[in-house]
Amino acid sequence: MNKSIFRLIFRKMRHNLPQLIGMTLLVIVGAAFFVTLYTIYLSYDRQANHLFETQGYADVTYYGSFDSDDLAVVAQKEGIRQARGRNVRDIRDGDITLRAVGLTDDINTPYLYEGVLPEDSTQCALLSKHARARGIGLGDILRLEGRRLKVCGLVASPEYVYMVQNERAMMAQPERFGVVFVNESFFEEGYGEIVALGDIGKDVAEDLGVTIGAVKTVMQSDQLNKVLFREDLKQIRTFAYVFPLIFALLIIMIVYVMIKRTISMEGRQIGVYKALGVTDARLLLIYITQSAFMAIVGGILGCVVASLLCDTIIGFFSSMFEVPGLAFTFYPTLWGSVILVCILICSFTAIISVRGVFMPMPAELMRSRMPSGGKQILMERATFLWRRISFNTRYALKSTLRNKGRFVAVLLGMCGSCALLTFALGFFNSAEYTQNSYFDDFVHYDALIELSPMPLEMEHPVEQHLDESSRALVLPAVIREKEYPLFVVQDSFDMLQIDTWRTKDGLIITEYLAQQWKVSEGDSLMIGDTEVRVSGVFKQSFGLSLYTSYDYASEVLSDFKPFYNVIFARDTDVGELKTLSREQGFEYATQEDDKRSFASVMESLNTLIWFMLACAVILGLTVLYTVGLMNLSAREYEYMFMGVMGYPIKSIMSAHIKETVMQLVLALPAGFVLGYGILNVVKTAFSGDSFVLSAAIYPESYVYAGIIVIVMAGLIALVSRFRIVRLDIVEGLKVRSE
Amino acid sequence: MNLYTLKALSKNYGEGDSLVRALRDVYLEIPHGRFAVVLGASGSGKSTLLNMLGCMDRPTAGQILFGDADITAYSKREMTQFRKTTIGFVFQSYNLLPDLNALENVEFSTEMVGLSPADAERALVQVGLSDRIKHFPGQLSGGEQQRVSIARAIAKQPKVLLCDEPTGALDFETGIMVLEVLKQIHREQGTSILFITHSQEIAKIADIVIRLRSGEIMSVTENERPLEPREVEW
Repeated sequence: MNKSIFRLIFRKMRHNLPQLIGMTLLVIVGAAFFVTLYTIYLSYDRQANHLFETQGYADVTYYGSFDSDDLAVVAQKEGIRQARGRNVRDIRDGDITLRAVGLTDDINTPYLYEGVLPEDSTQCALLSKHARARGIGLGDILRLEGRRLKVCGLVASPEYVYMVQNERAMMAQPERFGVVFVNESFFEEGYGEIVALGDIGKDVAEDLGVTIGAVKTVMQSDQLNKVLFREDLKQIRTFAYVFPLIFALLIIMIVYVMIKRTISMEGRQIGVYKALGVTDARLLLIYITQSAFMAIVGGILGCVVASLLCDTIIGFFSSMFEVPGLAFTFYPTLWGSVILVCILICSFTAIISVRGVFMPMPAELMRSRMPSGGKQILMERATFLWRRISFNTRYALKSTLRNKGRFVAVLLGMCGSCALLTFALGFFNSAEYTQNSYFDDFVHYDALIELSPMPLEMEHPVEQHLDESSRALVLPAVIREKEYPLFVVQDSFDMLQIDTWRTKDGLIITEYLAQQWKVSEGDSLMIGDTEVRVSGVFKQSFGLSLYTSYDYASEVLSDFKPFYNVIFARDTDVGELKTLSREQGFEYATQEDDKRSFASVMESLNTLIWFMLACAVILGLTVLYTVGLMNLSAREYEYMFMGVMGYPIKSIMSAHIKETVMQLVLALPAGFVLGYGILNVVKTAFSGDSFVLSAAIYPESYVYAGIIVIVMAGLIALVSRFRIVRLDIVEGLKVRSE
Repeated sequence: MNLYTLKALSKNYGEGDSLVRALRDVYLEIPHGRFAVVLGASGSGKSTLLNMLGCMDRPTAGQILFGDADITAYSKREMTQFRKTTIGFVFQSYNLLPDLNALENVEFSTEMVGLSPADAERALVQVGLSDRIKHFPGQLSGGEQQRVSIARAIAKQPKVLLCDEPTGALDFETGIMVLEVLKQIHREQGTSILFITHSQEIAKIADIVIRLRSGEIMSVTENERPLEPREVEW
């Protein structure tokens, strides 16, 4: 039995080959997309965690000014295994900022790519990303604060998986920012940081921080580097799911329509199977094996394609982060699961499609079917209008709506493709919109100068060189166990697009944080043990912060001192700031720096977006081609008969194109709406505590998406024309397909 | 014991104004090992009767006993099993599977009952198609296709052959050839055959002639001397 059945199944596959190839292509692209991104996600997670573990990424870091006694206190604390003191200092030279980091044994140890770690104060190890960007190699000399350091090692660091310069420059440009690991003798006495390894809770760690007088205590999980790592993992995983879900829906649709159509055409043959004694189970096998087989082939090929793509995509990702040893890894469970899911989706759809043939008796299936009764379409009721349109158009209108399954399939194909294109193009727009709305509308300053805290009544020398400036104090505010920058601003503050007057009697917070904390204007929040009032909510997409006034801060925050540690500057000569920063010893960041940092973040996502665009085009072409073929083969008899009656090919094509146009008219708006919907869902995954993506699709993106779908539909119409021209009238009339 | 015993068998299609009573209260006994012809005009209920006898459809009312088994009480699974092991069908429009060649079409049937490919080949030899076994239905003439269909039906050695106007789509010469094959099988294997036709001439080759009109049995007669296929003409 099996031999004959399988022989029959595989021979029958020839009839559906174009549709099956289309379906397989969708499975390949869907599986490849998912496996590629999920492999990257898994590899990234595994390799980065491995790096954190082997290089001893500090579990807790204390910032402040410490001596060896403080270090001893930390080292002796229960739960702490090891503690080291170190210094970290940013050294700016023109456009380039080099961060000198003291080496600590066994904690935050750099991962050596080449060379050795520095053994004395004349050597240094350089973050390889920066070295590559500036063409620096082993043996080259770096000048730091007048000292000559020989580059003895090129490294990666668990602390710099991302090139996090600070909270604004989360992904600094490697040619403008680098990390130099130096021997501790590079620095003066004392430590600016204590790093420690151990199993210690956050509360205990913070209490210990208070004991040693730390300005800030940061757990490993709260390090910006780690936070970004987690957020990126989340984003990659979200992307991995979004596209394949849409592909799965379209595969379901194609398999459903294909099998329904096959069953409708083979009703009599199914009756014969039953008459011969073929059981329902065997019957099911005949119709699901094709889809299941193609799902296996598609799933396997998809995984193979993913294995070929992975290294290339990882290469693109390496501009975003640096994890040593990140390369394609074969995950058998992932491959197996993907192939299994492909089989289940296709088989389950096939079962749903085929279930209608189990109930009827063989005699019923073998009886000649009555021609289906024609139905009036809604437009026909408007007789005045209906009579005025040509026969060709009337025929096209009625044909479009004749078979609901095919109609829905074509609509879904066009709509899905349009939605994915709209989403992918919209993602570009959203990045641009977010950037523009932040830098053009929200930010009104040119540079942000960071200083050591100074009383408000004292003037910093740099202020004499600034045309317009505004002082503020940045404090760490711990809300719900996370730390956020709280800006205390003066009443006249106008460097950001915020309602400064609202800060007088409370905190104003970003819309994203308000949603996260489920608070609105008038509600209260707890900063540590202090209850504060939310006096306003505003939109900010980048570097999420809280704002309040000096008056309100004095009123509610205990031990609050009216100091300032940042100056916002406008209309300032950035070149002059460079000189002043060297002379006066402050740090600063220009708006251009921030813009470049943001651009770097978004650039890394472009790889994903282009990948998605390519998939959307493949999807569109495949679905339209597959469904178009099904549509055409269902109509071949009709077209041939029209040919026999002397209806010219031109008129047949005209009706065919009119059908396509009507489908496009319905599918495109739905695709635009769906694309916008997907973008809104995905933007949530892209938003975190440091960055909120605003969904925006520019009109031209809708136009491009529409044009691409129309061009694809046009290409399919051309293929259809080719097939219609080649129809053999005599042969065709011998067999009535539908 | 009879091959078939029909008691008050009725079959209706549709309902209300479109109700069609295809079989009306049919009582009939068909003995074992006979070549029976069901004769009637189009719409008389011949095919409906055949469908009921072959478990291809369920009656609206009444009972069909196959031997002493009530096949109208069979479950769907039992009906499938009955068709698979007991009945061989020959249809007017052949109904071969277009994707399988002649031998494979027969094997499709024999494999289900656990017979070997040799049995399939033997059946094709029996119907005179030993040189066409690798041909697909599309490469065979109508007569050849019908003979493959007969081979498919007889290869699994059924108790009954149900033939629904097997010569209806064939020319005279080919039709005679098909009748001869059926007669030969009946004679050599003792297989009971129920043959549906609207041809009075073909009815002359049967042992028993059952006349049907508007879903009712008009008469059941026995031919004293059934003719050989070559002796009839239509």
